Amino acid sequence: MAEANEILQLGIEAARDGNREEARNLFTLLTKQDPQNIQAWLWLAGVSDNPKLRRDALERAIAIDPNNEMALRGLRALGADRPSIVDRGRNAIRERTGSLLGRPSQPAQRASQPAARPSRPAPVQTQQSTSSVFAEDELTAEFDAFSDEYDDEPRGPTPLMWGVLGALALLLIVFLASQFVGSGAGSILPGNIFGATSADATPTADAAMTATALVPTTPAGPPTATPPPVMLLNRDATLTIDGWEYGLYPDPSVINGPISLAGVPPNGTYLIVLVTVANNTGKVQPLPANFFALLDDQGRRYDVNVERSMKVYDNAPGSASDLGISNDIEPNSVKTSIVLIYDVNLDATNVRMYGGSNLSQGWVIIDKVQ
Amino acid sequence: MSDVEAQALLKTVNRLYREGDHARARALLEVLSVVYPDNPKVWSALATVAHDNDEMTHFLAKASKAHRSGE
Repeated sequence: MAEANEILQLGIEAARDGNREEARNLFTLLTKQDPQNIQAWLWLAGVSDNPKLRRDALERAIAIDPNNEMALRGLRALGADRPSIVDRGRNAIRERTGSLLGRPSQPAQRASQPAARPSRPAPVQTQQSTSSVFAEDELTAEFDAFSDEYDDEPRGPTPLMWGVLGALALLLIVFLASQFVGSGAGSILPGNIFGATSADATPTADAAMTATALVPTTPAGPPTATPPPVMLLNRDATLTIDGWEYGLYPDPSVINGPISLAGVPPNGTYLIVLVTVANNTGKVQPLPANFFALLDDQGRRYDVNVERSMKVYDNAPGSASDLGISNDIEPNSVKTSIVLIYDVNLDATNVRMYGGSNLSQGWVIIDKVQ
Repeated sequence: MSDVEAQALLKTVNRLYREGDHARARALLEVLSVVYPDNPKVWSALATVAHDNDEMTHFLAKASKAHRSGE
């Protein structure tokens, strides 16, 4: 499958870039999608930091291909406390001469080259996977590194670690002592740490600065008038104004993307926002077109593009949202979803949505358009 | 794989898209939609890489359905 190869390649690139978490997620996804993809299991093992997860992945690879040398090598690196698996793999390897991983034995080659092994294993070509992407040397290096990291040699603190531990212990002792003898911030000031007790400590200039920094400062002058902060709401919060109860549709409420709608590209980018409204006004009517507005940190206001919003709704009424922005809404207090299209500048940041004339309470729609 | 990991992969999708690698962003999303058919965010993201309006509407409908089924 083309997608599988793409994702395997993405994972390998992430691993190469040192982004092991992303690589793990990609390989895990691949194993979910195609549990028989041995390369995905091998790579997942290769980027797993957890020995148990690594072992599990290798055993899954072995289950798919009991003779897979890479998986056997990985299990050996882990100490292989399942000798039956490893022995089976070793026996299989001894019987082969080409050491082509996962390939069937070739009797003719065995007869002519009974003990030969290539200096570098050939790329994995499994029967189970159609993927052709495999950087075996890198995976081998991963296993070797893991083997080095998790070898059976007893480990103890290095001299450097002993030094650090000693320093930490000394700091802890001084700190604890200062809690009994001294008081306040002065007891943990730098002047106290090395040698002096808090009883005879004299704050240094640095210490004084540190102490000052620990005390909350108060403004020197009278408080100045500042605009009241805009209250940003949780996504599930609703507000009411002029008989309209309104809020964001539960996730997904925002879709951000350079989508061309009906062949019309946006000036910036289209933001698709799903909102909910309930009509408590007592009469059948559509939501006022500019009821909802977006504001960004650049001070710009964006009104809904009614035509595009209706276009999206009309493409599949009732699927994208319950109603379109121009449709009448019954005054039955039932929450109704409406899809709104905005054309937002690409440099917009901290885009917020407000409803009605209430500009003091809103929702953050998106932190950054691009 | 947890939703947290799916969310992390959506960030990967976002990065790929920003880097102009639309094909691989979409390939990843298509696999995500197979593994996580009930995740509305995956369908929403697919809507952003839709080839045309019909496809976008289809993905939005899937997103809406996935969300409603999760309620």
